Amino acid sequence: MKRGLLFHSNAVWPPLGLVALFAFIYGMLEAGLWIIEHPWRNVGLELEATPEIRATRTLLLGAAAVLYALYRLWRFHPAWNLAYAAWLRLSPWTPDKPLPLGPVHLVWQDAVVIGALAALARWHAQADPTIPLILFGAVYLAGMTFLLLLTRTWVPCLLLGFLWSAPIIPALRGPPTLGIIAGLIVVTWYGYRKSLRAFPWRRGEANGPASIRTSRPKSPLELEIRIDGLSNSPAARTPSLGWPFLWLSPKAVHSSVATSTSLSLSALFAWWTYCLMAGLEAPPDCAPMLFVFALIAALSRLAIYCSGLRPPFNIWGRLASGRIIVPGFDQVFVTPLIVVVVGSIGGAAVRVSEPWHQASAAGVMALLWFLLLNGGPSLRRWILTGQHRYHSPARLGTNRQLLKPI
Amino acid sequence: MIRVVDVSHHYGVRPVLSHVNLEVPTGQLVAVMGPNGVGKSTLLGIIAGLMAPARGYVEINGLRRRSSEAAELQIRRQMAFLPDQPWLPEFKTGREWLMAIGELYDLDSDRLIDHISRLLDLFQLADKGEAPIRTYSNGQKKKLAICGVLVTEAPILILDEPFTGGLDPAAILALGRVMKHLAERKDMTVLMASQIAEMVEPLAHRIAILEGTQVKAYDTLEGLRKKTGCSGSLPEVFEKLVHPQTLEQIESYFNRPNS
Repeated sequence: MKRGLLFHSNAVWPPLGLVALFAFIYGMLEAGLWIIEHPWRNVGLELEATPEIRATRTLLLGAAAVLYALYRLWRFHPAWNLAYAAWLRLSPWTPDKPLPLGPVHLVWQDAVVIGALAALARWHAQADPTIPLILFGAVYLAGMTFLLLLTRTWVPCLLLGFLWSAPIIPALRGPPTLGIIAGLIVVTWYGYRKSLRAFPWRRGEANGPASIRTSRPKSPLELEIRIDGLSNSPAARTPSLGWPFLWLSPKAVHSSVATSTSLSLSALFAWWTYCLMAGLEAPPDCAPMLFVFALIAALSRLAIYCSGLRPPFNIWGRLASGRIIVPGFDQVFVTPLIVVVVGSIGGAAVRVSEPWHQASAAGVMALLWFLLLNGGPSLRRWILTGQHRYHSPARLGTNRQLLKPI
Repeated sequence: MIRVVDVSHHYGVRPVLSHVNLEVPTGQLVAVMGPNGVGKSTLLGIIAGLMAPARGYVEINGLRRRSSEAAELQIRRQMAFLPDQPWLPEFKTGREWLMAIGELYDLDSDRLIDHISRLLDLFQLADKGEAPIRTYSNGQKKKLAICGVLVTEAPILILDEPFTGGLDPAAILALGRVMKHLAERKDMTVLMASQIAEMVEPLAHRIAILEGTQVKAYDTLEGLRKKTGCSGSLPEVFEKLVHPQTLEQIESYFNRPNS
């Protein structure tokens, strides 16, 4: 009986304002056409038949379908609305009960709305009636994928990452695309149910102001690479605690990337590389591209690792003390160097493996990502045990609007 | 117990500390004194974990700093550090910031709220508690930073120049009394750097005098008096140890025939 409740559908109809807006814009277009055509009806002017008018109508119908898809997700998914999620957390709601404000999953009202748009497209706009359906489906599925990312439902996200890029491969176009779409729907549905079961999600509404991760990732597929100042993660709120209070915090801000996460993401990026190369009619020379990618990725990793940190003493200190290599600090350069070397050698290897260059480029990409994500030391270990010094914001160019010295 | 073992450090080619050894037993308040630029802040920064020394190591209650993730986190749970120039978040209120600091140390929120109120009262910040830190004066920011260290309830406090930075006389008095109270507790270990010998004298169990990259003396005030043969106050003992010729220079300056 509870299962049946999942498919409740009250309050799913599009809001009156949205319907009125669409009717007004569409009506204005039709009224304008009528005003222009009416005086010239006798001479046989038919603007309606022109491709420009058909395209405008299709655009309006498509926009209506996109807006409706976004409305469905925005209005009913707690991940969008922090106040709703906070209220839901305090309510007796459980994942086996329907969401109080209405369902996120598709219901018969959606078929009515999209059917109406398709009918308008078919019999009034003389446009392809599948356009509203395709746009609604694509935006709805893409939005759901984004919401799964937002709610950190990693395994379905990973699967969707593979599925979304599959149609790029020419061999998978046509009838196989239907199978891919079916896969997208099934995985999205599974992910959605999984994300509801995992509620409350660990986001801003679920955490206190200084809730900082203390342990390794719970999920083997959980990825946590935090770049201070670039996101809304707790670590990104570093300036909110000042210097050096968070640097010396008894709670580790950074988590390690699990090996299974590294493997999964490496496989995903390799798959994307393969899809991209297979989708191109004339694949480019991979060697320089892989080298440039490896170089940029290595420098990015170095920038993330060394953000806010400095060596214990500078280059002159190394020369003067005869300690050219400081193992405790220089360990941070090892993985980036290996990445650059692998990028160079891998690029050359791809060039000579001509019949298999797509697969070999994907393999090199997988190796590069695995090294980047899993190469030692982990960010957490480096921050906590590396032989470096935490630099004062005075020398880091910190935004003085946010953080000021005494 | 804080153990500094054979620590040497240099910035570039300039040595700051060389072969420094220091032990601060649990339950003691130790003051580090010395002329400007002698490496007091560097020593405290190394002990607090702000930087790794070029050579040597630091042990806190038997755990070596930066030896492993677990050891480092365990040390951090027992320690709070007040740098001489902390940077505070301008957009937060004082109370919010203190709450955030307290939460880092997993303190019970009811107890934390009560502690914060008492600290704000103590340092005459109760009226400013709900105001953004950007509206604080320099002295008020310094008081708030001190509150930030005290609110952690950490058993080891490392304080770099706690009495300077625009504190008003009432705040210096309050801080002095807080320090006196902490010094009397057997479970608290306090290491502070200060130039104000008058403040240090009634508080410190032991005093470490740094000079020329090394620890010149480390003893109780009585021990330092014996060592210098000076029975005066700490400023005089310090003067005798670090600038033995200063008193004669002053004497000579004022006793010139033309002066």
